[in-house]
Order: sequence, then C-alpha cells, then structure tokens
Amino acid sequence: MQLKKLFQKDKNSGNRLSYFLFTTPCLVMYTVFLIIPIILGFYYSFTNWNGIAPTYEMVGFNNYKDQLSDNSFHYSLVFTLTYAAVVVFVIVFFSFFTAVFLNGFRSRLKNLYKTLLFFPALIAPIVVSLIFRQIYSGVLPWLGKTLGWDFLSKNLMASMDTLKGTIEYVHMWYGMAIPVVLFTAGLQMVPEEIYEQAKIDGANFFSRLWHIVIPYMIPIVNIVFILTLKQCLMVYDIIMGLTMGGPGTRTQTYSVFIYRSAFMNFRVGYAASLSVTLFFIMLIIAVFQMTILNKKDVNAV
Amino acid sequence: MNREGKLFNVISYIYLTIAVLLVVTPLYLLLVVSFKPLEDSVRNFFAPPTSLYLENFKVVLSGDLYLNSVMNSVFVTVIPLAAIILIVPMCAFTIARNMHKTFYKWMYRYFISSIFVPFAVIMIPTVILCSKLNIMNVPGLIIVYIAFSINQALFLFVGHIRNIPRELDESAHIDGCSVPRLYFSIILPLCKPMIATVAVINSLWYWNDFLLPVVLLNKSQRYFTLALYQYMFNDPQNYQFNLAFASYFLGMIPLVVLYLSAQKYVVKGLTAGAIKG
Repeated sequence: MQLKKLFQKDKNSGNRLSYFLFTTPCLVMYTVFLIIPIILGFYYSFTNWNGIAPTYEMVGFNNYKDQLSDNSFHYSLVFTLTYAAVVVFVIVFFSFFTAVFLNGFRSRLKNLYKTLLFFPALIAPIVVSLIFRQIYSGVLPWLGKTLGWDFLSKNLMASMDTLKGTIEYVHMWYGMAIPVVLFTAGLQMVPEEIYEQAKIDGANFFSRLWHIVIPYMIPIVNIVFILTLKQCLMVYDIIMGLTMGGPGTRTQTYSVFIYRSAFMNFRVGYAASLSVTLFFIMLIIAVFQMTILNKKDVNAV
Repeated sequence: MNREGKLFNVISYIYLTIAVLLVVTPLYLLLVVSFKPLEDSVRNFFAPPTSLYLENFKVVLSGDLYLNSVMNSVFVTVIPLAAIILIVPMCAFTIARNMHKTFYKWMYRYFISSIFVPFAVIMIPTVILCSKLNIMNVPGLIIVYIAFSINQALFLFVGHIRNIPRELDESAHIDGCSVPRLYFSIILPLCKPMIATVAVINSLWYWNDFLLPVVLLNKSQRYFTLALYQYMFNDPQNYQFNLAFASYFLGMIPLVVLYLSAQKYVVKGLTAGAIKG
C-alpha cells in the first residue's frame, strides 16, 4: 500500500521517492556503522564480556567501580591529563602568537613561511614519531658528541626526567600546524577600522592585542582547545611510534591502556567502560572551558 | 612604517625564522638521509648527499609488500572519498531543502548528534561488529571510513546548500525539471568548492590514519596500509633508518603534491571543517 503510493506518478510522491533514494544510503551506513557501535559501546560497559566468549553477564556498574581501585587506570589517566595540559597550553599559546606574527609580517618570505609551517600536518603522526625516534636516539647524540655538548650526547628518551618532554615536543611539532592556519584565518575577522582607530587613539600593541584581537579570537581558541584536547586525550600514534608505552607502562596513555585492556587482556567490558569515562571527562572539560571563555567573547556565538 | 611597526617586523622575523627552522630541520633530515647511504648519514647526518644516490628507494620499492600496501592506502583513500562525494551531497540537499519539515529537522539532528562522541567509544564495538560481519579487511575499513565521515561532511554540505538561493529550484521546477535533474545538473555543480574542501580534510585523515588500520587490518600483512607497513617494518634491533626514511619520504609525496596544488582549498577546508569541533 505504502509502496504503491510511493510509486504513483503524481508530482509530490515523485519527489518523495527521489528524496527517499537520496537519503537512504547515508542513513543506512551511518546507522549501522556508527550509531549502533556507539550504543553497543555504552551497552558493553555494563557487561563482563571478554570479546570472544559467546556469553557474558550484565554486571551493572561493576566496571566503573573497578576503575576506582585500578592503579593502571589512575596512572594512565593522570599521565594523559598532565600531558594534555602541557601540550594544549603550549599549542594554543604559540600557535596564536605565530599567527599574529605571520599576519603582520611584511616580507617576501611570508608565503614561503606559511607554506613550510603547514608541512607537519601532511605527514602521518605515526611517521612523525618514527622520524623523531631516530632524531632522539641518533641525530641529537651525534650532534652532542660533535659539538662537545654533554647534555645532548645521551639519548633524551632514555632518561625518565626528559622522556615525557620528548613525547610532548613531538606532539607540539605536528599539532601546531593546523591551529596556526585557524588563527590566521580568524585574524582576518578582526574589523580593520576598530583596530586602526585604536592605533590612532594611542593604544599600544599589547593593549590592542588584549582588548581588540583576543576577544575576536575566542571562538577560534575554543575550537583549537577542543581539537587539541581531543587529540591529546586520545593520543595513540606517537606513543606507539616513540615508546610503545614503555619502559614498562611508564608512558602508557589512556588510549593505549584502552587498547591493551580490550585487545590484549581481553577485558572488552572494562575497556568499554574506560571509553565511556573518557567521553564524560571530555564533555566536562569542554563545557567548563566554553563557559569560562565565552565571558570574554564579543560576538558570543 | 613607524617605529613600532619596524620593531614588530624585526621581532616577527626572528620569531618566525626560529619557528620555521624548528619545523624544517626534521624535514631536511628526512630528505638528505633518504638520498644517502647509511654510512654517510652516520658520519654526518646533516651533510647534503654528495651524489644522486637512489639505492634506498630501490630497496624500499622492491620490498615484498610495499607496493601492495601503497595500493591498499590508495584504495582506502580514494574509494571512501568517491563514496562520500556520491552519497552525502544528495542527502544534504534533501535535508537542506526540507528543513522546515519536522521529519527532516530531526533527521539532521540525528546525523549531527554523533559529532562530539570521541573515537574511543566507537573503536571497540566497531572492531567487534566488523569481526562478526567478517569484514576485518580493506573493504571493511573502507566501509568504516565512509560511515565515520558522514556526520561532518553532511554538516558542511547542508550549510553550503542552504546558502544556494531557492529561486534556482523554483525556476527549474517551473521549467518542468524533476528533483533528480535539479540536483545533478544544478545543485551538485554549485557544490564544487565544498567537495574540494571535504576531499582535502578527509584525504589527510584517510591517508595518514594509523589507529583504525591497526585494529581492523591486523589479520594479514596483505591488508596493511602504508602507515601500518611503515610501522610494522621498523624492527628496533635491526633498524636501517636510511631505508625507513626513504619510505617515509615516498609516503609524503601524494599529500605534499595535493597541498601545493590546492593550498587555497586546504586552508578553507580546515577552517570550515574545524567549526564542527
């Protein structure tokens, strides 16, 4: 009956048929391979499934209770959060200033610099980290010996004091490229007249930056913050490329921990609960940050 | 230029040159090491190659599964891109033109709702789903890429199509143009800039992705994509970094070419794509 109606030749149902055909492929793909996995992810987090056995039990909130007493969970969470704090702060701060300098830069080198600064975004993060592993273990010690600088002649990744810094540096190296592009685009939105007027009124560079430019940059700061935070909390590629979580589990980030729990220790239910926890941590930080930053936002978008 | 302007330019010059040097040095190493024999690199990493030495590339290209992995990477980049460009704009067109109807408004919300869900939540169930459906292979990864790209691409296309004036539709309609013809001969050609944008954002992701290939393609070495191949064949005990660097260098070329030839779209694409957060 429905189908017959659909195929009737009158104008409106003809439209309806084409609209139906236009939306179905997306709806099906999206529902089957994205929405169902998301729902399953939440569902598995309440089970004790190992990923292989045909049966499993519902265990309520037990997985979440287990997290409270799991030292590996605490360690990897703290490691990841402190890692994210450093990397996000540095990237937001320096990519903003890089964009400000690029924007006002009067030189023939401007376009060349812009192009070069984007290059890290074109390389796979896993490859970036493999390149840097060679730099840390081969190139820098060689440089240290050649120049006679003692602190460089050791492998920086071999000492626990510098290990975390070396990983963070790699992340900043490739993570800065896209934020610089975003801030540069954002700086175009600052109205020229207001800026010039402030100049004439005698406002110096820093007060113009603080009172005029930064308020316009708040939406971009939000975007860069969330993008980078998401990247940092999920950091996997560069850990696998540089340390594989080692020595031992000293650099095991949260996503490496999830991966190992699910596919090496076969605790799929527990790993699913870890992902859900991460989801809520991200949600809380994002909401918190938006509320604080939007107070300084001029357009309050 | 006044004094402040001059001072600013000097500081910019110093700051940006340092920044560019920090970015370029590893890339420079990548370039020179790829073109030097191992011994030369160990003697002096930074020295430019003395002759045109292509042995590294020859060894890499003759690697057992290298070309196979390149082909896999090409498949998992090109096919999802083509599929996204085929199915998403038509769905976005339908939604954008029917936004006033409750049904389509909710369909739009349904598509957008998953944008903020982090990948960690989806990863484990996706692997389980794919292994149940027996698609832990290249076609499976292609399907997953298509499904995961829909929300963002749809968001961008709906925004774009809503800015195309409706008068175009109406005059086409009066001339007796059917909906499919309206879409294919009027709306789709007007979507070209957004198609370029989406193509750029997604090819950066598909070509360089590591985590999804790791979890979905680990059943056989024949399934490896380039990123996975490069990772799996770097045995730390016996690591010939000159060969490794040559393979990284080759792997970069497609995206560098894409970037240099479509720089405008890359910048626009990233800016538009970032709005999704």
